[in-house]
Amino acid sequence: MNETSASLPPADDELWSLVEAFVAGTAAEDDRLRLEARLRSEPQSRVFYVAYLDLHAHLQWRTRGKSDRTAENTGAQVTGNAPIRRRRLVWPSLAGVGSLAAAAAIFFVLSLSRRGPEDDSGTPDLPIKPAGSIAVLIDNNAPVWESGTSGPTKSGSYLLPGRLKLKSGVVEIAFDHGGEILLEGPADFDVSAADRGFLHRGKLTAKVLEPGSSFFVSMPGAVTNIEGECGLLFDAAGRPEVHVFAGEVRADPTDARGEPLPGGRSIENAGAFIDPTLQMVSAVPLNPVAFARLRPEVRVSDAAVRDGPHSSENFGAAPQLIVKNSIPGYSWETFLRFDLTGVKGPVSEATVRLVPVKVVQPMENAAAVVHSNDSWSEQLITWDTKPPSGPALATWTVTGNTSVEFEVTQQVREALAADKRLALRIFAPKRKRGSAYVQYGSREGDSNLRPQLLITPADVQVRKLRQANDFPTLTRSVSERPSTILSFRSQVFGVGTIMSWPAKEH
Amino acid sequence: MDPDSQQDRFVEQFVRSQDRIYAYVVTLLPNRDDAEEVFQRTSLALWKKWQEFDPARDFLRWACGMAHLEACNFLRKHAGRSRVDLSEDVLLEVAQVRLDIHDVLEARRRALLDCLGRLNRDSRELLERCYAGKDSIKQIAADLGLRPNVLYMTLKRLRRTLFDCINLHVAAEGSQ
Repeated sequence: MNETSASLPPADDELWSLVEAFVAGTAAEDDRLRLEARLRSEPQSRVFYVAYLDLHAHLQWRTRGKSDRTAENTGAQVTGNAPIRRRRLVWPSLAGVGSLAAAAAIFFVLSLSRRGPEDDSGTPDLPIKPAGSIAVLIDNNAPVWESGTSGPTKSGSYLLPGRLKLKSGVVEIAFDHGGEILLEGPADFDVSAADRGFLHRGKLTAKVLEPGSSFFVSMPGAVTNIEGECGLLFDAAGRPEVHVFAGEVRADPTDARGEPLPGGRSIENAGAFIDPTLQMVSAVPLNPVAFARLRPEVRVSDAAVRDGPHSSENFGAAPQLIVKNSIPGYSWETFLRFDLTGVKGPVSEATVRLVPVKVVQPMENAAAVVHSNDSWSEQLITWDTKPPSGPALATWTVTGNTSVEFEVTQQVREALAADKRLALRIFAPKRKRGSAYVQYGSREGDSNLRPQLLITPADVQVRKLRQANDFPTLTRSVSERPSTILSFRSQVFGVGTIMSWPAKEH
Repeated sequence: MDPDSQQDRFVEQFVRSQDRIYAYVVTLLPNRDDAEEVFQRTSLALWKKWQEFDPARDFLRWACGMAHLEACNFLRKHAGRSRVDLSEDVLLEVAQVRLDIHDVLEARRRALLDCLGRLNRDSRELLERCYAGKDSIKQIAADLGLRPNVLYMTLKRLRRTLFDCINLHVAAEGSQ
C-alpha cells in the first residue's frame, strides 16, 4: 500500500469523465492525450485509474460466462474445436501446445470461472435498509400528498426524519422501534425518530406492537407516551385529544419548547383533552367512531430473511417476500405475524392467503407456527435472529401467480385465547438450486398482493356502514352455505380486515 | 514431476489467481472482447511456460508479467484501429501501481460484494445485463425504451455509486 489507503481521495470531475469515457469505449484522441498526461504526472490519478478499472474488471468477471452459459455447458470446447467466447480466439493454436491434456487443463481452468459457490444465477434479491432510515411508509387507502411534501411517498419507502403532508387518504408508518401509526389526511406529521413523531395537524391512531416498548407522539402543547393503542387528534381549533382503546397512555401538557409541564396523567380506556394553558388533562367521552377507519381488525407484519453473508441483514420493508431453499448464502424464508387484537368474538374459519408475484418453476412451500413466546419484529428480524417454529401445518405447490390459501382456524383460535398474535414461518422444505424460488407480495407492496388473514366470524354480525363511501370492495365468497356470508377486503378498514356482510345490505 | 501432478499444480495456482489476472488485463484493456482475448492468450502462455515457473516466485506477479506482454503484443497487432488505447509507457506505469496497491485492491474487492448487495434489484439486474455482454448497450437501451446515452449515464452513475460505497466501506473498516 505504497501510494494510498484503501479509501481513495476523491477524483475531480475531469478525471472521472476521462476514465469513464475510456471504460465506455467512447474516448476520443484528445481524451487519450489528456488522460495520459494526467496519468504520467499525477500518482493519485494513477491510483484512481487502477481502482476504477479494477471495479470495472470485477463487474465483468462476475458476469463472465452468463451470456453463453448453454454453449459452455455442452463440453464442446474440450475438443478444442470451438472458441469459448465470441471472436478469433486461440484454441486452434492448441496444436502447438502438443497436448490434449493441456487443452483439457486450460479448459478446466476457464470453465471453473463459471462455477463456484457464488454461482446461483436464479437468486432473487431485495433492497436492504439504508443507513439512517427510521421508519417505513405503507399505503393504506388511496393517499394523496400535498405538493410541499419533500420525502418519499411511495409505498415501501424507507423514511429518514422528515415531514409528511397528507392531503387525503390513509397511510401507515411502521417505526423501527415497534410503534405503528395510521395517519388520515388532511394531516401534517413529522417522522422524528425511530420511536417518536409529531402530529402538527390531523388525526391518527398509534399502536405499540411489542409488549413492553413505548412510542411517543407529540402534538402542539402535548406529548403522549403510548404503551397500547390510541387515537390522537389535533384539529383546526388547536385542541389536542387522546382516546385510549387498549393498554395505557401517559399524556402530558407541554410548553412551547415541547418540555412536559405539570398536570399530566395516565389514561386507560378513556378519552382526554390535554390543555397546556391550564396545565391539565380533562376527561372527554371515548370516541372510537372518530377513529374507526384507522383501526383494522387484523394487522399484518411480514419480512423475509436470507442466510449466509446476508444473515444479519433485515429486509422488512421490501415489497416482496421470498422463499428459497438453496446452497448457503442463497436461501430465504419468510415470517408473517397477524395481530388479532381487533378480532371480536369466536371464529368459525380462518385462512391465510398469499399472492405469488414471481414463480419461475413449480415449487413446494410450507407454513409452520412460530412459538408465540418468541418475539420478533418486522424491522429487526434477520436470519440470525429468526425464531424457531413447529412442524409444518400446511404445504402447497406454487405453480403460477394464482393466490394460495391454507387454513389456520385452530391456530387463530389458540392465538385469540392467548396473546392474540399468530406468527408463521413460510419456507421451502426441499432444497432446489437455481431459479427455484417464490416471491410473494408483502404489505409494503401492491395492496392487492399483500398477505391476508381471512376470518369468518362464528356469529355473523351485521355491520352497518357509517358513510356511503365506506362501502367495501367484495373480493371472495368464503362460503356457499348461507348466501349472506361474504368476505371482503375493505378499502376503509384496510388489508387483512375481513368482515361478514349480509346480501340484503348490498 | 509427473504430468498429472504438474497439471494439478498449475490448475490450483491458476484458479486461485485467475480473477486477479483478468482484472490486471482489464486495467490495460478495458474493452471486454480485448480483455477476453488477451486473458485467454495469457492462459495458454502460462501453461506453455509452466515448466519454467520458479515455485519460489509469486505466481500472480509472474502471471501478470505474462499478461502485460500479451497485452502489448495485442496492442501492437491492432495499432491504428479506431478504438483509443493508452500508450505502452502509460500502461507500464499503471501496471506497476496495480501491483503496488494489491492489498488495497483486495480490500476494495471484498467491499464490492457488500456494495452490490446494497443496490436495489433493478440496478443490479441492469448492471448484470449490461456487463454480461450478451446484448449491446444499444439493444438493451431499446428494450428498456431508453436512449443509449441515457443508459450509458445510468451505468456511469451505478459505477460511481459502487465506487463511493466501496470508499465508505473500506474507510469504515479502516477506522475500526
